[in-house]
Amino acid sequence: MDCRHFDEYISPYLDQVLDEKEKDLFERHLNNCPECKKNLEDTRRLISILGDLGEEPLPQGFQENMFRKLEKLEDVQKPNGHYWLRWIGAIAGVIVMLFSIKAIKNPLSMGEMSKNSSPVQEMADEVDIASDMALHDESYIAMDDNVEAERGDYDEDAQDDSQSAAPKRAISEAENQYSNGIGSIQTDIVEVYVEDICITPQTLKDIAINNQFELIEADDNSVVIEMRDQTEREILYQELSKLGEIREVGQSTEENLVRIVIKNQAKPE
Amino acid sequence: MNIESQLIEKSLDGDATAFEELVALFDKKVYNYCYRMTNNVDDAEDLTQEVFIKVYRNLKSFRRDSKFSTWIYRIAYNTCIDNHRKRRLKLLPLNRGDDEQQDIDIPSPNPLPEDQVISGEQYDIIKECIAQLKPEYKSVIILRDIQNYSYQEIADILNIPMGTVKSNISRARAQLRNALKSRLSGYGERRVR
Repeated sequence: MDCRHFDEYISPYLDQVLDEKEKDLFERHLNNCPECKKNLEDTRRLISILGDLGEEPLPQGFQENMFRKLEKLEDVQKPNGHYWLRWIGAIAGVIVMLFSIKAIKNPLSMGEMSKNSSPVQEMADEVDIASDMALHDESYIAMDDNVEAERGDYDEDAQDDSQSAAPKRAISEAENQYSNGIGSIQTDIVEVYVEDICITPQTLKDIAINNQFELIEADDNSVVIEMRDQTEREILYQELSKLGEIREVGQSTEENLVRIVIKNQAKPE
Repeated sequence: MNIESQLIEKSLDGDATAFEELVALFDKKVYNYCYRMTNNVDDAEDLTQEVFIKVYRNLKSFRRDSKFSTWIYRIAYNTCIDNHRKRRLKLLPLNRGDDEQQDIDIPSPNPLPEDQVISGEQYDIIKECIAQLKPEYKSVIILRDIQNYSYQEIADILNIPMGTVKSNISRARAQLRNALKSRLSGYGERRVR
């Protein structure tokens, strides 16, 4: 083995994380190689210099500034706007769901109520979903207040679109929602069609952090996340559906790793 | 329940003082991490604030199965990386290929200065050399050598395998060592002339 290889041993050697065999091998090499010995000493010295750098003090008034900023952000959300947004979200949710349920259950006669299930039961389902959506709205606001103002419109647009442009998709998604109680990500590749250019792989990374998903890799327009159980698949579905329209394009449903690709474009008409 | 968990619970119940105390436990560490990542006090302050605002807003999604400090550091790392990426996009035409440049090692025959107090100017050179490392390397140098975290803790914070931690620490130190050797010896020669 050459010195370039042994250069990689220097750090773990100094941090005592080499195993016995590697340590022996490296020490024997050191005895015969002044170059590596010098690098070892320089690295030791470097570590001591870095250790002496110490801590910088916080800037003057750091905490005051930050809490002022936080309070300001809180004021924007509270007190009335907060509840109003919740209710608008809930009402919009009920309206959208009412339309989509009718469309799905009886595509030919939009105006008629379904005959198979009782209207009361249907209303109960809708309220559940609506309150669910309201909760999402709240957590969304907590994530980013810059987009909250556009939130209501955007959501309705997206849902309307999915009905007119891709009715089949809407049905399968709704079936999905009814069969499991909630949607979930099932294949290994998912496209998310977003209209908001602020949504980047960093947004996905933040989602991964916030939900403690295992983030495997990230590039310019996608991330790979490990799904460890069904619950994570459902949470991911909920999170992604807040960003835009989800399209599952993967071939396999056996994989634990899911690649999420951001499509910065309006969905084709 | 330790103090940290109590403060988290109280903060979640809307206790502002508890959250202030929680911030006080970590603000210096996070600020120093951001400062070493950016080598700029103003950027460091902005980024640190951003980190704690994210912590505040996402506190309810913190899962107790990881350490709170690990969680905060991971947010800090992602915030700094995001900042770096944005900056790079802005600087790209002027600063193309700065990552490749860092891979060129210019070893110097002179050893690092031994047994002497680091002067103010040398201290600046060290900070500059750290600043020029790529963010993945910078992060491990800060966490390992400046803030004294273990290999395992670093693996948890950065969410990378142990093997990657080992090789990143090793390469980061080698790169920094060689950069410092050439910069500091050059500095010495200029002084002699």
